[in-house]
Amino acid sequence: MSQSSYVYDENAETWPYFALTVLLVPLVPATVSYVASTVSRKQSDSDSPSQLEFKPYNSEALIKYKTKKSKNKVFNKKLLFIVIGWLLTAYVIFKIKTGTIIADPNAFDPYEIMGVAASATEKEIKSKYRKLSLVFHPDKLAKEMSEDDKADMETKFVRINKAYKALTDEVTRANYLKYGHPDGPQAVSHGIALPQILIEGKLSPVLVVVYVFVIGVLLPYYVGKWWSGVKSYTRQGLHVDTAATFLETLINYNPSVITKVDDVLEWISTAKEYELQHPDLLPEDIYSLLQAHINREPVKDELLKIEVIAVAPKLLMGLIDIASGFRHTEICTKAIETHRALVQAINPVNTTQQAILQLPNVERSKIDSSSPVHTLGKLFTLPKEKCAQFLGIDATSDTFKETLAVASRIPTLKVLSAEFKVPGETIIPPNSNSHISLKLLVKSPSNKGECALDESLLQDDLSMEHLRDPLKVMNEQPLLRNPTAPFFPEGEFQYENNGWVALLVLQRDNKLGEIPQKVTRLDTSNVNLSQEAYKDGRDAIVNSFKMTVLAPTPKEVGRYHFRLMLRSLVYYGVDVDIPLVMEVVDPPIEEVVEDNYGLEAPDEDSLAGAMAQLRGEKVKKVFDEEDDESDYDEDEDFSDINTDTEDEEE
Amino acid sequence: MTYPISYDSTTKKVTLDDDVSASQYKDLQVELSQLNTLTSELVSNGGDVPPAPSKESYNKSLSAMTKKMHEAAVSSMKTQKFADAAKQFGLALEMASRRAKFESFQLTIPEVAVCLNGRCDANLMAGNFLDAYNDAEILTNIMPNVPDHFLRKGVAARNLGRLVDAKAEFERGLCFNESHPKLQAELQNIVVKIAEENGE
Repeated sequence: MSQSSYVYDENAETWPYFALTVLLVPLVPATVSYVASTVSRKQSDSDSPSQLEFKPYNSEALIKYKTKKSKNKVFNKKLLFIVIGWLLTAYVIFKIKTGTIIADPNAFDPYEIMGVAASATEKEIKSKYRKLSLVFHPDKLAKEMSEDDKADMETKFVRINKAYKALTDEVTRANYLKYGHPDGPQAVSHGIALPQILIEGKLSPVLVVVYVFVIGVLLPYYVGKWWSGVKSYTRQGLHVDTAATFLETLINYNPSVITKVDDVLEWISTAKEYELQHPDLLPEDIYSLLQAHINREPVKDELLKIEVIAVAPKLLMGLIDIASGFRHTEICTKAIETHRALVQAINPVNTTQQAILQLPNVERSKIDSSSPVHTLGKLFTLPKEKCAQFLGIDATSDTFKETLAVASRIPTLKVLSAEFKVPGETIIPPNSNSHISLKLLVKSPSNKGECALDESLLQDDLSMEHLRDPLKVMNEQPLLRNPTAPFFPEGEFQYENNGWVALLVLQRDNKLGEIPQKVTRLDTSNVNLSQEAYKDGRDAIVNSFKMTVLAPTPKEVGRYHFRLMLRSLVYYGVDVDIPLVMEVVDPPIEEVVEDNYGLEAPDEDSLAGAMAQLRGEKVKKVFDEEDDESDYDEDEDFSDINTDTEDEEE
Repeated sequence: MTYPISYDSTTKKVTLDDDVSASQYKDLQVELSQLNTLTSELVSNGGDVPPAPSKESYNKSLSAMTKKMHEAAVSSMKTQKFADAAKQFGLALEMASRRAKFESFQLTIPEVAVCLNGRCDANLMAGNFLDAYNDAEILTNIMPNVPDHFLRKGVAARNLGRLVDAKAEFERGLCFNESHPKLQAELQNIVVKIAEENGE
């Protein structure tokens, strides 16, 4: 009775479902990621601050680069895949909608035949059966019925009988439960969601070839490609060969040589990324392009230069990452300096006025380099005429206004408090997990003096939630706005490599004590405050920065000196250096709570006494003379035994 | 791995081959020059194997010469001839660092440091702040736990207009001696100066 057979999908009933599943599995994630990336790009485009009137010498190339990049972003293979994928999905769904599904005539559901609920009791089933037999029993049929109708009614009655049996008779019920049919095993059919001609007809070799190709060739190829791709880039997205050269540089580092920005540029110019991107360029060519950029010198192929510098931030971040593994402070700070030199297109050599040179419309040849103005703060103390004269810009022009507007919006940090903290403690105990808690006021360089802040703003939230996750406050702050960097191509770097890098340095040996951490979340709305509003301090926002210290606090009590450096990746003149002292002290011994109830100290040998001893409280001594005596007796016995054995041995 | 180097048995020196570009083997060249210096010192020493570096096997006449030169420099300092003093300290330093490389390093360092100290001070007084800064930089590297070295470095940096760097140096110096009065005073000064520079 049992027999199996393959049922091919000749009527195109099931393959659309199969196809739909295969289509949607890759399509839905692809679409979600595409939409998410497009939306986030739209958002960042809208708050780009680079809507300046100022046009740098390389503006044409920058625009070309941007359109090229955004074209690549919007119209790529992914979009093609998504469009075709959804079109196919629509077609498949249409197929499913129009097609009909023919139910298996042999399917057997006793409850449906009987017309009772699956939860019906035996009593209900019996009464239903009685009712049905009154209608369908061959003896009860009306005389005037045609033969055909009668036969039909009879088969129905047979089915009802079977169903009734399946639900009541034990053997039939067992058959039904085991094989799905009261008569025992039925013919089993396996559906294949493909028409027969593909498998058993002339086309079957083609299908085999397709299968072999997909499983034997395409799958290993793509998995292999993916794996080698994973292997050839580090977690930070740096090519392994580049990482290896950086590593070699650091291993061979000569401490008697001072690292300069030019050295860092030389290191990154040997990166594998450049070799892959521009196989025709030598490291020397890359180096000269990078140099030309920081010197703001036009080159023949501006677009190429921009493509080269756009890669540099990633390489520098990779270098910082590797150098921090060596706890190398100097290379880390130099890499950060190189980063901002590239972002602002400033050669930091032979000038102390980088902070002024980073402003739009300001040119190195035009400013008064003999003037003692080095900082943005000082710039704002100059009267308008003098300021214009110093910058070499006409005081009445719009460009002058723009320059000062940009300068006043450069976020400058004022440290309000900085300390090591251990959650839930007022002191720093030895061997505990600490973090650095900074309170920062982000202000405009045009604002001077002290800001009258409410004391409560400087206090940390001491709620349970805060103790559990001290970093929460920081992570709720908004991301920093994109920097004003008119010479640098806008791109991903602006969201990733913005802000400051926090380096914790041990004063003793000037080495890094922690992995550098980025400061990317700060509310910069204070830069728009007027001088009066700033002094008043009511609208000022205080920001928090928390740096987790992975290493536990020292085991020994004492004072440990650190230096927390906040180095800007994008702006000159906004670095902060904070000396920090970690004072490790032993936690105070908790005082014994005075007994308020006037209870006597518990006996030494009672349970309460044992507990009290564990807590270090007083207990009443119990002297038991009998115990002492018995101890003494035992000793006596032992000595007796000992002498006995010795005697025996002799 | 093979390197393009060859040994000349008459001069007893290892040199880089002529047919390779020197710029490609910068690190190798540094190591070769170190090796050659050590070889020539061993050769001129005469004996087979020099004694193990210790207080006893220490060239005392060189120490005396260095000390003499140092004293001359100090007297120049006293008569306010700072440029001369710097030169004399430089000579003393050169003598101290000419010491054969197989001699006790532990004893060489203080000698070098004393001479560098003097030269750094002379340069500061003479107004050669860049030279003074470089001297102080070496000092902080070879003896990083002396607060005075950071004071020198900080003062030089301040005079070079690098106020923020100077502040960091004073702070670092204070970590080795929190009650160093001069460092504390300098730190206070520099904080005021930085505020001024920022137009506060």
